[in-house]
Amino acid sequence: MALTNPLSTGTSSIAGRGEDMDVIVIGAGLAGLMAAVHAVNAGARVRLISQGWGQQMVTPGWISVCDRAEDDVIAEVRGYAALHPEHPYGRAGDDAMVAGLESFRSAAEAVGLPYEQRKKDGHNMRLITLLGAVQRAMIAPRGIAAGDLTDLRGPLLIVGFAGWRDFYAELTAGNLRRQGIDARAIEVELPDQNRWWDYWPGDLARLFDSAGFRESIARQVAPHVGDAERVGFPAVLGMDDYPGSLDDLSQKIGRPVFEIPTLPASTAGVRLSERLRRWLLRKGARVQIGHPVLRGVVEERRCVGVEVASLGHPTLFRADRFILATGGVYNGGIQTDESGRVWEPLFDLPVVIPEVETRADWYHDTLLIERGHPIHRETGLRVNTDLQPLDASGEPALENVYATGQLLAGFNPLTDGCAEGIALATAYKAVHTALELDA
Amino acid sequence: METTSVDVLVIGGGATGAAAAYDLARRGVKVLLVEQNDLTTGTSGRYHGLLHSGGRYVVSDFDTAVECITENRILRRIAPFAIEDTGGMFVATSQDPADFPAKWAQACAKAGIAAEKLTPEQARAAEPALTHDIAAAYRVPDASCDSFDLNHGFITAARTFGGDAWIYQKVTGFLRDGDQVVGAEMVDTRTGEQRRVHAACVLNATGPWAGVVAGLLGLDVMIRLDRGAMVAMNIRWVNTVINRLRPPSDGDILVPVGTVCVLGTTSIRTEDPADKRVEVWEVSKILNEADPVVPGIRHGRALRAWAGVRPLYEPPAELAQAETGHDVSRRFAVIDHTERDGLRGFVTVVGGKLTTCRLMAEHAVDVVCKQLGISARCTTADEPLPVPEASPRHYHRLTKRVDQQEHGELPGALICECEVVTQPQLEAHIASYGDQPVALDDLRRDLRLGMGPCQAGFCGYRAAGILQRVRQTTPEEATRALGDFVSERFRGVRPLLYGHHVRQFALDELIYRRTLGLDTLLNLDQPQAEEVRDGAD
Amino acid sequence: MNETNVVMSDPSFSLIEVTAFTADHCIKCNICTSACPYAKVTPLFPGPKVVGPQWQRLRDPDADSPDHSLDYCSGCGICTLVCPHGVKVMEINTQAKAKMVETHGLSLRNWFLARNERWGRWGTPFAPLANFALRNRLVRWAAEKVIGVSRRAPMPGWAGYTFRGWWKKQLRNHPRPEPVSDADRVVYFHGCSTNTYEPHIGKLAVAVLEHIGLHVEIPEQGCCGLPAQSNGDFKGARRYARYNIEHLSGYARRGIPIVGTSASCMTAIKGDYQHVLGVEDEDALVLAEHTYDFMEFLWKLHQEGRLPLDFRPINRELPYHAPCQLKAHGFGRPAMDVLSLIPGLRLWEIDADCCGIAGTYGFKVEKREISEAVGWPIVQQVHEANADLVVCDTETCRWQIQALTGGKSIHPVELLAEAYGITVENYRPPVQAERRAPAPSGW
Repeated sequence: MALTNPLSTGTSSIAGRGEDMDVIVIGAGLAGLMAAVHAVNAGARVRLISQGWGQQMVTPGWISVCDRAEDDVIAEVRGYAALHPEHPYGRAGDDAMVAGLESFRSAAEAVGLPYEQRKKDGHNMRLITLLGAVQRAMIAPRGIAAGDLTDLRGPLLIVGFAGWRDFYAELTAGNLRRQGIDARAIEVELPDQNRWWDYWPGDLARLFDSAGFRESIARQVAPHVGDAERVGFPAVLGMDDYPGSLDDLSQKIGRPVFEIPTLPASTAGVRLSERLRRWLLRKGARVQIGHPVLRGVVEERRCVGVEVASLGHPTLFRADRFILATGGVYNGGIQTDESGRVWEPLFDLPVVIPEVETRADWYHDTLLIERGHPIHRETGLRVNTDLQPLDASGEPALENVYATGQLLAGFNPLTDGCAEGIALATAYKAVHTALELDA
Repeated sequence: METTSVDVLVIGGGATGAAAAYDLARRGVKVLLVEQNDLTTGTSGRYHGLLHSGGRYVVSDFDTAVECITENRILRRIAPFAIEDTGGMFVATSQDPADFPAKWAQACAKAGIAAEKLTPEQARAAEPALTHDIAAAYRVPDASCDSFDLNHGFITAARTFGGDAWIYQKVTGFLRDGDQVVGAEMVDTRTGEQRRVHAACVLNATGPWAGVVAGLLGLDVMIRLDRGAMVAMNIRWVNTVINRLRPPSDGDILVPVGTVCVLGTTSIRTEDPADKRVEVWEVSKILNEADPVVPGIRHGRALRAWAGVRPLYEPPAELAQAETGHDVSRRFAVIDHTERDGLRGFVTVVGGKLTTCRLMAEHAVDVVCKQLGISARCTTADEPLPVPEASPRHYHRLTKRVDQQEHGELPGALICECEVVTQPQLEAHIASYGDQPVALDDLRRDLRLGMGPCQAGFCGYRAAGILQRVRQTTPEEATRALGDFVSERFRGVRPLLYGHHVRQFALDELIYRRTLGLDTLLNLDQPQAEEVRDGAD
Repeated sequence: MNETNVVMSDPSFSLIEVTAFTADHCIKCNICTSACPYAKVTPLFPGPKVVGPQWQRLRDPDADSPDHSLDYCSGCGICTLVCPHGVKVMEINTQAKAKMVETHGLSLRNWFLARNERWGRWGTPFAPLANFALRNRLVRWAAEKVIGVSRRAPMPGWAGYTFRGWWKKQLRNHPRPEPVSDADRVVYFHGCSTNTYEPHIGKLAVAVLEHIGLHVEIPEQGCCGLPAQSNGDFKGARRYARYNIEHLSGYARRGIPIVGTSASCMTAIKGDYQHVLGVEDEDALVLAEHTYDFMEFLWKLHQEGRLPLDFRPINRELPYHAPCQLKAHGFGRPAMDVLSLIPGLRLWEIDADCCGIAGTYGFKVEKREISEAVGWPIVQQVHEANADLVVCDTETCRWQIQALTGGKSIHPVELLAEAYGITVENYRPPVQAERRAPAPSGW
C-alpha cells in the first residue's frame, strides 16, 4: 500500500488537545474499530481501549449480514427486524444497518481495502470455504469476493502449496465437485524450502507482496490453467501491497484469481485491523490495545471514566460517552465461571442468560447442531433503540453508555450468519445516538 | 466366512486381556486376542493413570493393597517404558479426620508399603504447589502409568511370542459343542465382515462387559458397574501423585500423566458398561475436592473430562451392603465356569485394578491352562517386556520432541502443534493400518493428535486433509472423518465449558462452522437428525 | 471483576505464578503470532505463541528448556498486548529464557550487555577516549568479532560526567529550600543512561519538576535491572531490583511519588519486579504503586490542576514514537497528552509496534539485521513526513531511531522545557530564601 504523507492529508492529524475525551470505545473488534471510525469522522476526540484484538482476527473475513437470505439481503433484514424489534437489528434500526454497511465499505476503501458486494441484485454472494463448502455472505474483501460462485460459468482451478500444512486443495476441490461445481486441484512449490519453521499465513502473504515471488508462482500455475475460469488460492495473496498484489497475480496467470480464507489468524482480518489502526492514529485518535478495562466508574447513573489495569496502579480514563464493544463470551464482554455465574465485568450490567437449570445446558449434546448453543444466543445485554443497556426495570442503566456487537443478547454469532452486520449496524447507531448526530 | 483356529481366544483388549495374551503366549499357547474397539478404549483407557502403591486401600481393603504393592514393583521392573516414576504422597489437611493418618501408617507397615513420614516443609519443598495446611504427609511409591503404552507393550510382546491381536472385532456369539465352548463368532465393526475363531478355551476379560459377554452363553456373572469421572487439567500442576490422606472418597487423587494433571474421581452406580457421562456436578466436586490440597487449582483450565466404568465383582451378599463404589472391594475373581455352570472352555476374569492386571492375568491363565492340561507356569514377572518401538506418547518424549524440532531432527510440517505431531509421523501411522479403515480418533490414540488445549480445532482439519491425500479417500469420507473426530472431542469437554474454556470452544466452533463450513458439508448427505424446536422461532 | 482478576486476587497464587498461569488461557488463535514484529521479519523465530504458552506445557520443570529459538524473542511484549485472552506471552517467554540461562549460563556478550550500567560509570572518566573508540570503525569491528556487539549498533556517547555527580554539586552550590510537607516532594529516578550518557535530560527533568513547584530528591538508586532481566540473568536482575526497592520504597511508603524519564526503567519497577522476577514483598508492591513515568506523572498533576500552563508556543508538527515498553505500561499516551497543551505543537503517533532495539536485543550482531527490519516502518513514515525529529520516551529507542532515520530524537521533556522557556544554560534553580544575591545562571 502506498503510504501517504500524514501531513498532506486533508484533515490534519491532530490529537485533540489531550483533554478528556469525547468518546471512549472499549473493544477492538469490528464494532469497536468502526465505532471509533464513526466518532472520529464526526469530529469527536476518541480513545479506543482494548485487551487485545477482536474476533475479526480469526473469522474468515467476509461480512455476514444475513447469510440465510436467498434474495435481497437488506430486504430480508428489514423484514426480520420488523417482526423482531428486540433483536439487535431491530434495535439498531434499518437506517443504521444500511449506513453501517456503506460506511464500513468506504472506511475500508479509504485504507486501500476494497470490499465487494452484489450491486446488481443485493443478494448474498456464494463463497468457498477452506473445506470446499459454499458459504453465503453479503460483503467480502475483493480477493475473497472474486470467488463468488453465483456467476460462475466455467471450471475452477484450486492451487495449494506443496508441504504447507494449512491448505489441502484436493479436499477443497473434491467437496466442491460433490456440490456440482467443476473444480480441480494442483499443488505448486514454494521457492524457499530451507525454512526451519512452518509458514504462517501471514508469512506467505508477505511473500506475495514481492513481484518476483508472484512471478514464480504464476509460472508454475499458468501451464495448468487450461479452461479454468478462475484460479483459487488460500487467502494469502499479499499483505502490505494488497490488493495490488492480487491484481498483479491475476495478470501474470491470465485468469482472475480469488482467495479462500485459512485457519486463524485471518489475513483479511489482520490487514483490516492494522490499516484501520493506522488510519485512526493518523486522525489523532488514541489507540490503546493491550490492557483490560477493569471497571467503569459511575456517579449518579453516569459513567465518568473507566479504570484500566495499567502497571503499578490503575489509570482512570475519562470521557463524556462510552461505547462498549467488548464482545460476547468469546472475547470476555460477558464472562462465565464454573459455578454457572454469567456477568458483565465492567459495569455489572444486567445480563440475559440462558434459562436453564445448570450450566450443563449452556450447550446441546451435539456440537454442530443447527441452531447452535444457548450460551451464545441468549447471553448478552438488553438495550433500547438508542443502544443503551437496560436495567432490571427496562430503563437505561446508565446515561452515557452504549452497547454494540456481540455484547448484545438475542443472536448467535456463530450460527445466525449476521455477526458482522450487527457489529456494523450497532456501531453506527451507537455513535449516532451517543453524539446526537442526525442519522 | 473367514475362520481361524487357535488354542485360546482372549476377548477384551484392556490391560487384563493384553497381559493374559502375553502370559499365554509365553507359556507356548497359541493365542488370539480380539477387542470390540481399538485397544485400551474400555476401562483401561479411561482410568486415572495411577500405578498404585496400595496406600489408598490399605485401611479399607487390605488384601488389594498388598496385591498392589507387589505388582507395583513387578510392573516397574517389566514395563519401565510405560511408567514415570513420579513417586507419590499422601497428604492430610486440618479438615481431614485426625485419627486416620496413624491408623493408615500402621496398616502400610503391615502391608509392606514403604510410607516415609514427611514434615509439611519437606512435602512443600518437594511439591511447592501443595497447601500450607498440611496436618500429615507421607511419601509412598506411587507412580504414573500410561496404560496405552503398557498395553501396547503387552501386545507387542505377545506377538513376539507368536500371539496375535485383532481390533474392531465384536463377539456376537459362541460356538458350542455340548457343554464345551469351542470358539466364537464376531463381526468387524468397521467393515461388517463376519469371522469365526475356533479355540479350545475362551477367556472373557472384557471388564464391564463381562456380564454381557457371559450372557451370550446364558451365564450369569454378577458385576456391579460403577462410573467414575476424571478431569485432566491443561498443565502439570504437580509432579508427584498426590493422595488425600483420609478414608477413600470422591476427588482424592491428583496424578501427573504426561503433560496434564488428572484429577478424580467420583463413584456412581450405573447399568451401562459404556456409560461415558460426566455431569457438571461431578466436575465441580472434583475441582473443589482438589483445591484444598493444591490451592488455586480450581481456577485452572480443565482440558478434558471422561468417565470410566469400574467393573466391581462381589458375591451377591456383599454387594447389598456396600454403600458406594468406594467401599466395594477392588479384589478380582477368576470364574471357572466348569465348576460353577457346567460349561467347559470358558473362563471369566472380573474386578481388579490396572495395577494388578498382570496378577489377574496370571491367575486367569493358570485356570485356562489347567483346563487345557498345560503345565507351564507364569513367567511374565521374570523378565522385562521388550520395549515397543518408540511410542510417541510418553511425556519425556514430548519434551524431547520439542528438542528435536529445535534441532531440525523432526522434519516435516507440524500438524498438531499442541502435542508435537508431524506430518511424516501422521503419514507413517496411517500407513501402518494397511488397508484397514482408520479414524482420526485412532490416530489420536496413537500419537496424541488433538489432545492438547485446542482439542483438534486446528489439527483436525490438517489431519483430515492428510488422511484424504494419503488414503485417496473421497471428500465425503475425509469430511465425515473430521466431523466424527471433532464431535468426539466436544463430548469430552462439554462438562468443562465455562470461563476460558468457553472461549476455546467458541473459536473451535467458529473454525468448524464459518471457516470450514463443516456443518454444511456434513448435512449434504445426512440432513440434521436432531432439530431443536424453540419457542422464539 | 473479570476472570483473570479472580485468579490474581486469589491468595493461592504469587504474582509470578499468575504470570505462568496465564498460559492456561491460550486458545491458540495465532493473533500474537501475526502481530509479532520479529516473527514478521525473520524465519528463525517461530513466533510468541509457539515458544510461549505452546511449549510451556511441554517444558519439563526440572530440565532445561530445549527451545533455543526462544533467543530470538526480543521481549518487546507486543504479543501480550494483542492477546484478547490475557496470556502474558512475553513474560512467559522471559521466564523461560531465564531458565535457559540458569542451566547454560550467560554468554560473555550477554553478560556484558546486562551490566551496561558499569560501562556507563567506568567509561565516564575516559569519555573522550571512549567516545572516540566507539566511533572508530576498527574498534567497532573488533567489538563485533570479540564481544558480539554489532558494529552498526547505535551506541550512545559518554557525557564525561555523571548526572549524580552534577546533582551533588547542585545541592552544594544551590541548596534548595525545604518543602513544607511531603505533598511537595518527588523522587527522580534517572536511570543509567541519563546518568552517564544523557545527563541533560535529567537536568531538564529536574528543572521542570522544580518549575512546577516540587522539591526533587534523588536518593541512592541503581540500574533498574531490565538489561539483565531481558538477557535471562534473573539473579542479577533481582539484585538490582532489591537494591532499588530498599532505597526507594521508604519514599513510597510516605506517599512520595517516584518519577522517571526512562519509560523502560519504569516498567521494570512498576511491573517486572513483581510479575516477572517474582520480587513481590510489600515494599516492592508499595513502590510499584507510587512509581510513575515522567509524562504520566505530569498528566496526573494536570488533572489535579497542578501543572503550570505558562507555555510559550512551539509551532511544529512532530512524529512521536511510543516505545514498546511504554505501551506495556497501559496508561495511554501521556507524552502526547501533555505536549498537546503547548500551543502550536502538534504530535502525531507513528504507527509502529517496536523500533527494533528492544533493550539490548538490537545491539547483538546476530540480531542486528532483524532489528533494522523491525524498525523499518518508522523509517518509512518519518521519511514520508519529511520529519527530522522524532519524540520518544526511551533512550535506546531514540538511539535506534537516530541511527535508522539519520535524524534526531528527543525526550518529550526536552520540548516541555522549551515551552517553559527552560534550557540547560539559562535555568535558575529555586534556592533557599537566605541567599541574598540571585543564583548565578547556569549550573
